[in-house]
Amino acid sequence: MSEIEEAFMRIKTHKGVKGIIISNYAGISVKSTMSSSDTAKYAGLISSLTLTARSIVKELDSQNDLVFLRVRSRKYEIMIAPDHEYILIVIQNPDEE
Amino acid sequence: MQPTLKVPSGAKVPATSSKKLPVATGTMKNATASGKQGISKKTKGKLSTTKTNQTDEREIIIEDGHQYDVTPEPLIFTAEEVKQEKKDESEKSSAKVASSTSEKKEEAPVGSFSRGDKSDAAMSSVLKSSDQSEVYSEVSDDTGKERVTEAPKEEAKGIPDEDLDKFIDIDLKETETFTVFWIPSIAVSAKADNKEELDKINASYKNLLKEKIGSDNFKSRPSQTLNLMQKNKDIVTETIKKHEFECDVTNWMLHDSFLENPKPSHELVANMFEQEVKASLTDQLKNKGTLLDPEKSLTDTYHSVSVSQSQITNKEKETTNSKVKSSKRIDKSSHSVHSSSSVTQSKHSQGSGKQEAEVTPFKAPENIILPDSLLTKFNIVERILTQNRYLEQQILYRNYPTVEFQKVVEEEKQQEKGALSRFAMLQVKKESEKKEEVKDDIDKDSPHMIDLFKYTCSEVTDRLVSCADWNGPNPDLLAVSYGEYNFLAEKAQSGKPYLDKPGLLLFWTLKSPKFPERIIRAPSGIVSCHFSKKNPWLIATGSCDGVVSIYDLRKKGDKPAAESSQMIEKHIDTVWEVKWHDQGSEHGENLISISSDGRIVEWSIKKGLECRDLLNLKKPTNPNQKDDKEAAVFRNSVGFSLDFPKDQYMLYLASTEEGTIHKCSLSYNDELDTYWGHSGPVYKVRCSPFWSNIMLTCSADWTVQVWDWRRDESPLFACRSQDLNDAVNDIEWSPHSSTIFSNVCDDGRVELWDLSVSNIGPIITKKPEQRGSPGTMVRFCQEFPVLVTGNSQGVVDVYRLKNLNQELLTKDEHKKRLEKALKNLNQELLTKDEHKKRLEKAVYPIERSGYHKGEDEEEEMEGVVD
Repeated sequence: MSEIEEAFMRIKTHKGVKGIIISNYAGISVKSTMSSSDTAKYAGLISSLTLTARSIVKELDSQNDLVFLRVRSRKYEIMIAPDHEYILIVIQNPDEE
Repeated sequence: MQPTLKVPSGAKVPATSSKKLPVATGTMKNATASGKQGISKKTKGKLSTTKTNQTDEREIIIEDGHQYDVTPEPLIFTAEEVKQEKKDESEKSSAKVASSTSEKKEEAPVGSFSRGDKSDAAMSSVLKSSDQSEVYSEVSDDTGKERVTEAPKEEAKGIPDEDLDKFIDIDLKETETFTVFWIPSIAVSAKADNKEELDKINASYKNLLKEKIGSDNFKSRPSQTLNLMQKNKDIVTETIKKHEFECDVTNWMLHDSFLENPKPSHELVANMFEQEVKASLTDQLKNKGTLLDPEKSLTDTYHSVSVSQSQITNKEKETTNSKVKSSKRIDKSSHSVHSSSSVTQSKHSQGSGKQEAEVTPFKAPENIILPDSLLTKFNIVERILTQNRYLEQQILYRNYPTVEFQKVVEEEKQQEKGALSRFAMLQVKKESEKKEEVKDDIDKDSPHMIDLFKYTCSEVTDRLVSCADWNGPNPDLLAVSYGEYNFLAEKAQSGKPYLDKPGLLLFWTLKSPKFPERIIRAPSGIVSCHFSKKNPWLIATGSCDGVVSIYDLRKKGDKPAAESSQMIEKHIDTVWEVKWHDQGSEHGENLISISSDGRIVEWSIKKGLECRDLLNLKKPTNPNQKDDKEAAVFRNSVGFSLDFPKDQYMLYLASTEEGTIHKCSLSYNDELDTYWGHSGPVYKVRCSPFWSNIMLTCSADWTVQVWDWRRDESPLFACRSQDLNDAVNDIEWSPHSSTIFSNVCDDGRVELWDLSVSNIGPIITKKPEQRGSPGTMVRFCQEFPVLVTGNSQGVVDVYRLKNLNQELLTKDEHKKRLEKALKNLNQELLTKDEHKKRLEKAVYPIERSGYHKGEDEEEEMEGVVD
């Protein structure tokens, strides 16, 4: 298994992780561990948020770039790591025992 | 009488006196080609009509009423006609004919001929006819000549062979020059006569131009030009396929894309092609005198370039296709309208499509290859996940003040009525648990260890943790080596013969306790490891098979930068310890290793890997044991450990299996001194980082001994807990406090001693409930109050030390503290004056200096000292 596949597996089996989605900026998911309806929702909504967040960072300083975005809600936490073409989304419930 | 039109019959028909009018056939074509309508007839003229015994080839004969033939004569003659003429009238000068023909053709060569020479005439007529045939094609006349082409052939057959060689005179005439095209020049010679005139004209024109600007006399005005008539023309093509594409673009996107691709892609391809062609050209032209290889065309190179381009684009297409496939799959499952083949579909269609989706689990297509650029993102996410899980522990590790989170949630819970969110419940539960935990603690203020996390993963379960080392610049990075060294014991346990399992070197950090940063695999078990201080990316390892390897962590892969497996002077048995030693600027930093084969070897990496034997450990005779009847066995003894006292460049201490510690020097091949005190193999020797006189040793004889190697060959005292009945495997001094050290034992316990408090028992003991796996490694963290221990199950425990007496003292103060502590523990260290003072204090406790608790205890401890 390639390094990246191993990393994927490790994150998947991390404690409290509900799902992983890799999507592009248009909201189309490439790989996901959740159901297709959930995936579609997350990918679509989060991609636009990421774009806005990235714009903020870049507009303030064009040399800068967004590295990470965390949305902490009551029930769980959404971790967003944007790349040039892709967005990595991980949903975790950190208090899961 | 009216003139009648008579058309003669075809050529083959013999003419009669009465002229007939045959239908002209085959000439219609020519007629239509020439564009004239009506009945086109060949008019083959004959100059004389008087002879009736000849065939009258004229097709149209016009006669006036008086039987006079007034057929208009043809202007152009076919070869046949000329021939006929010749045959008919020899007296008629062909010059006339020639002249008539020459009138028509200005550039045609005129053949002179002699009378009576039939062949000549034939030749000339041939020439003429050929010219005529040329002209015929140009002239658009009624007179279409079909038989023209036939005639020269027939005549050509008729030329006798002799006549071919005859010389023929040809006169060439030049026509007058006529101008076809003329553009007069705008340049006039400087020496022209009318130069002055022209200059004046030019100057006045320039003035006029200047005046025009802004002048009232001149006003610019548009004018209408002639529009030529236009004609519409319809064409039919294949439909142009259209795709819809939309995207949001921001300023920074443009900026980014410009930074990435300053040159448009077609230019890049063109450049590439140019380079390829140049390269292939130079290759082919390298051989002298050869032209380009005709079989290999340059288009081949172009094709290869374009093929490689297309390969690249194909790969991209594959990935996009796979994406398209996945998106198509989504569409299929959601029964939405199949959108266009472009990957970037509009969000609206996508969104609406998904709403109708069935709840089927998303199966990632197998052929999706995740791009490697996502690897860094994965790592970041992993770190964050770990932080979410281990936040408290990480805060403790780092010695940050802890933060209370739970109270806010508690209030919210009280506000909410009805169902509690699970999260809030958990928080409440945690809070209560915490309170309980606090109560369980015997004494919060006493020194204790908190279990933070365990560095372990599936790779290393059941592997023995042999050694560990912290990295200098990155204090979070812990290198842990895994290998087996308890061969016989393992064999006894498992019953199987011992197989040398491959060794592992894992790099752990608190940011990822579940998985190491890096794994290096070695062919055989690694028993010791040490980071270089000068070059922190180098780590040296010693392994079971005697190989000393140096790994460069800047490089990827498992291959070491240098290793001793091929060297003749390599160790032939397990290398128990490797240590980097800086000998100052002259020698640089060299590696010293000690091994079971009794040799201490110094390695240098200045020019490849070189080694130099420092010492051979011999089995010494014990001076304390007089009944040593063993014959002097010339055999090297096994060395287990070595250490360099602080600030000592040349001296070092080595411990052996015989229970001795040797003081050696880098410049001598012999031991300088030997220390006796242990009754079993001494596994580790460690010098105090604060006071170089003091060293600490641990042994299989269940004890830890403290020595002052400068003063004595015997230890100062031993440290051993009452209930310890197992070998002590590892010891280490604390880098923060001069009187603290820790040790791990075979029964799995971890002990922490503080000499300023007591040397009877440790201040902290952590014992597993049942007999756990033996502890094999213990290390203090340089920066934080953290202790790590390793055991034979591949688990590295990380503990946080709390409430140790670790004041911030200077090194000298630390040293003094240690001195003081040792003096308190060992009577021999005291000077005579100090002894006297002690006696006084003992005899007159209250009168002189008051009651000192410590002194009483000292007296009690006297008997305990070994």
